[in-house]
Amino acid sequence: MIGIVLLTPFAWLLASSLKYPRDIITGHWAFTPTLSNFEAVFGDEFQLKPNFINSLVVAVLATALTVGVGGLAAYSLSQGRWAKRFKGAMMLWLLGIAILPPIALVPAYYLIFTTTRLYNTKLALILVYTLLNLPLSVWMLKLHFDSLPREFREAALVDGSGPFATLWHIFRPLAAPSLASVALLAFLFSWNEFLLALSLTSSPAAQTAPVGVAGFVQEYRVAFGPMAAAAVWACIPAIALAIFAQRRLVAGLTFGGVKE
Amino acid sequence: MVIDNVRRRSLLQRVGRVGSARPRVPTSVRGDDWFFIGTLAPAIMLLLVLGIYPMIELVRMGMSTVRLENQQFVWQFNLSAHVTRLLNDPIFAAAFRNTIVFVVVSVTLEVLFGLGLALLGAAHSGISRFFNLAAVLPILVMPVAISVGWVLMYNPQFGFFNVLFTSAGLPAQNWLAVRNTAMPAIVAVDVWHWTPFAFLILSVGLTSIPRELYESAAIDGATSLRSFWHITLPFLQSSLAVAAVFRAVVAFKVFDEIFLLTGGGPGTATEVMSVYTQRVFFQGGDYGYGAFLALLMVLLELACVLGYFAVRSGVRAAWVARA
Repeated sequence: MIGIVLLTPFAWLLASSLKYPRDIITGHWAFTPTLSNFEAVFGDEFQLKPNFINSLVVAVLATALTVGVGGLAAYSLSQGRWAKRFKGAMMLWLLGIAILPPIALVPAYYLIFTTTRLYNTKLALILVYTLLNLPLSVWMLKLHFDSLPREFREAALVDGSGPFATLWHIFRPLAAPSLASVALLAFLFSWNEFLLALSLTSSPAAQTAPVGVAGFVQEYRVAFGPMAAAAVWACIPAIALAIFAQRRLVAGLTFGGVKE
Repeated sequence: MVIDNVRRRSLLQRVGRVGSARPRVPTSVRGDDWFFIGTLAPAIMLLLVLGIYPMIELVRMGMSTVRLENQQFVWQFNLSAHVTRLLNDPIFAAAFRNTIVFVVVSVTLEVLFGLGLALLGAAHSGISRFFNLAAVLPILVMPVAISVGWVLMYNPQFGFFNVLFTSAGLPAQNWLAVRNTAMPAIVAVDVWHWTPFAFLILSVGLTSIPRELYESAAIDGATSLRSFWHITLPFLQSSLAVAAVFRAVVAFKVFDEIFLLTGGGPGTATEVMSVYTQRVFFQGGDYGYGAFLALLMVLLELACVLGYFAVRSGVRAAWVARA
């Protein structure tokens, strides 16, 4: 019952995306469904194809970087002989980034990226999203590495395995569940992020899907069918991952709660 | 990097114990230090270049007026101008008030509803897969798409609510364009959006309570209300705190939904700090004052977080003193 209440807005969105304009405006419950809106989103009039491609590129590369940079840093902080105080400071620094309101990054990024000619590029978004995904990835992976017995690494070193081989062949497979959680959440965060994408891009060369979908709300106020269809397209990755990888996603989402 | 000699010795000792012949000390133990510096370096670079440097720039910008002249940013130190403007800025005052109201009301409702749902789920031992999916979706789906869904729900002519209202013979409402209903409408979206998150955190917390406690309480004749008050709530304390703090931190940043649903209107009824700051910066082209407002948000957030930790350690101390 409550599940149905939770799904109502999605159902309404989906219904609107399947309606002809006349069925939307009358607000009837019964209507003849059409897929024309879904095609129109990528057609000549609305041209959202580049936005979705940009989103895919940005999200995939930011996820790869997040897992790579975050995984290496987490391994170093977990297994390296850093002073305790240094480790604590690093984790606190990451926590600070996590709670920072994104709007606080907008002014400086706008200036920095404009002067370095990175404004309105996918590269800028990829780097920014990697930074914003770093806290979750380092925290989660470090705790996972910490929970593994120290003897694993020592045994591997005795057997003559190099430090990177030890990480790759022993720790990476053991931390696979957390790596999956981090990758999924980093992908969805990068796919969904709106404020920075809006502030740091200005043309279809780098604008992502949320910026394109938001454009409907601001510009084409009457094109309700295509607007709903664009939103439905934008929901698809989250829905697919929620169905196929629910356990890993919930593990990531409740990570903070379990930790405390 | 400070080398921890105790651990090195113990590692070498342990290595020495392996096998009967004294094994060669792996050279990689020494090389490891460089390996660990190298693996941390990319993260540190990113944190410095895109984390610390922009913060320094934000402080500098917030204290200056910045203008774009011939493709060049012209800086001029002028903190007092921003302070004077802030003190006479009725929109910011409204945005500040609205942000606080929004955070307090929506987080309270979300934690209460989340607790109710978690208890309901625990009572029905095992929540259906369908419900879990329905609960996770709002958290994972793009907020912009969610906002579009709610724009259509609230539409004055053919939105879900007005279709319901008119078929029940009630007058249609212009939910987002009227002062009295705009903020409650936004809060409703946020409660819908994030109650599942509180539910997830509190469900995890509930599973950590030992069942035997309830059984022995029941044997002692405790009512379910009493065992809720004396067992469930004390055990859930930290989960409740985590859910509330996580939500408050994110609610404080709220941007997407308000930007798309009302843009802060009507008037200043739903204006919040993130939306106003973004508008000052981009539409007003007022880089210095925009940065000043963003800086103010960071300081406010910092004060709240430090205040929370101070209160929490105070509460802990009080508990310890009582025990």
